[in-house]
Amino acid sequence: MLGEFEYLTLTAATRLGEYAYGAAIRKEIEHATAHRCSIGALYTTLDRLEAKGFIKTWMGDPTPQRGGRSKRMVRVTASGVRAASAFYAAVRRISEGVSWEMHRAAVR
Amino acid sequence: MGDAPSRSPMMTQACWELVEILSRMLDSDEGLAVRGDLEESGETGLQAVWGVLGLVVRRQAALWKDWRPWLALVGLIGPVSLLLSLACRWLGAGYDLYLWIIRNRRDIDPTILSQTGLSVPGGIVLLGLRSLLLFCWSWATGFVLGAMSRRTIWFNGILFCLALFFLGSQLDHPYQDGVYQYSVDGWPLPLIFYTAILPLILLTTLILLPSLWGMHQGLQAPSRLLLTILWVVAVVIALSVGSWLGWAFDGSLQRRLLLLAAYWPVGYLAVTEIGQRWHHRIGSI
Repeated sequence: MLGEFEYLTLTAATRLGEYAYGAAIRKEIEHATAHRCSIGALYTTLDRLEAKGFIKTWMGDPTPQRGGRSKRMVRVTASGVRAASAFYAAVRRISEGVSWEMHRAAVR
Repeated sequence: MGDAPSRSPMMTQACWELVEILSRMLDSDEGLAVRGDLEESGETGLQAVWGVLGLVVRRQAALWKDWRPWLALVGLIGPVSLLLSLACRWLGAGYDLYLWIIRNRRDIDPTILSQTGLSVPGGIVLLGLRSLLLFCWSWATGFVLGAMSRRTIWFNGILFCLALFFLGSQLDHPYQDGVYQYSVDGWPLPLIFYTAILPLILLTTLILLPSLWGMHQGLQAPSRLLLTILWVVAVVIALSVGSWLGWAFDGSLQRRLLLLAAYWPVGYLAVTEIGQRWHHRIGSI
């Protein structure tokens, strides 16, 4: 089973497709969650996902806007897609019949 | 690089210099990718430092899941650095004595020297051999520290150097009731040379530099250094076998434990090298 941040990372990398790399994934996560994503959390999660076989990473070409430094490119593997899909299905199943809007109103 | 205008350029420059230094503690590819990401994202200098520091701390914490850096920390940095430091101080006292004898040899009655078993040529040979022993022992300790610590060497190496300088001086300082305990008249050099400069020279040349050299080589592939390792082990065994035998048979339990603590890096080197050679030979048959 994936962790929440692992799911976010896999989803962001899938959305970005062939343009998935460290800075772009981080930007996607920050945009989606409206929270800062630390580079430490992202890179250790990328390592963990690669160790589990859910992503493959390699060093890309250097670009001028990065001061001539290479990117760590990311590709989601078939087992990564299956794991993210299973996580999403679990979230959907457990969320059935629960209305967060209603709950929020009740708390108020 | 995306810094707020209120930050001084010097501060920004210093922060990015720090980012460069910190990212060297990461794998070279990862360091490059991280610095590129930070630059592309337009992070401020402080945010970049904080980000890289967070990653370095996570990476270092992950390295400590292995038992080897712990063994290096507990088994080497504590006891061996203390013993090396103390051995250096005792050797320094020997240097003091022989420097005094050399300086005053014309005024000393030769019968006193012969009765005490002290002689200038014998003293020079003894100090030379003990210095060589300390040099090889330090190299072996540094080598094992490097080989065991691997990427935790930043932490373990700095701690080892600090322990060398501060641990020994706390336990064995040359003053007794405010007076230098080896003090005698007729010294050729001022007192500060014996109390501060000579111990520092010996500590640097016989312990610090060889152990740093050993650490550097221990981080590389040890198989290339087989001959050096065997030479160091042979020198240490040859020069200290006398005291080993004396301590092993006549010494108290504490002395035997101290002996074990002091020489285990040399034993570890010998055993791992012989083991590797044996495995290599079995593999090639």
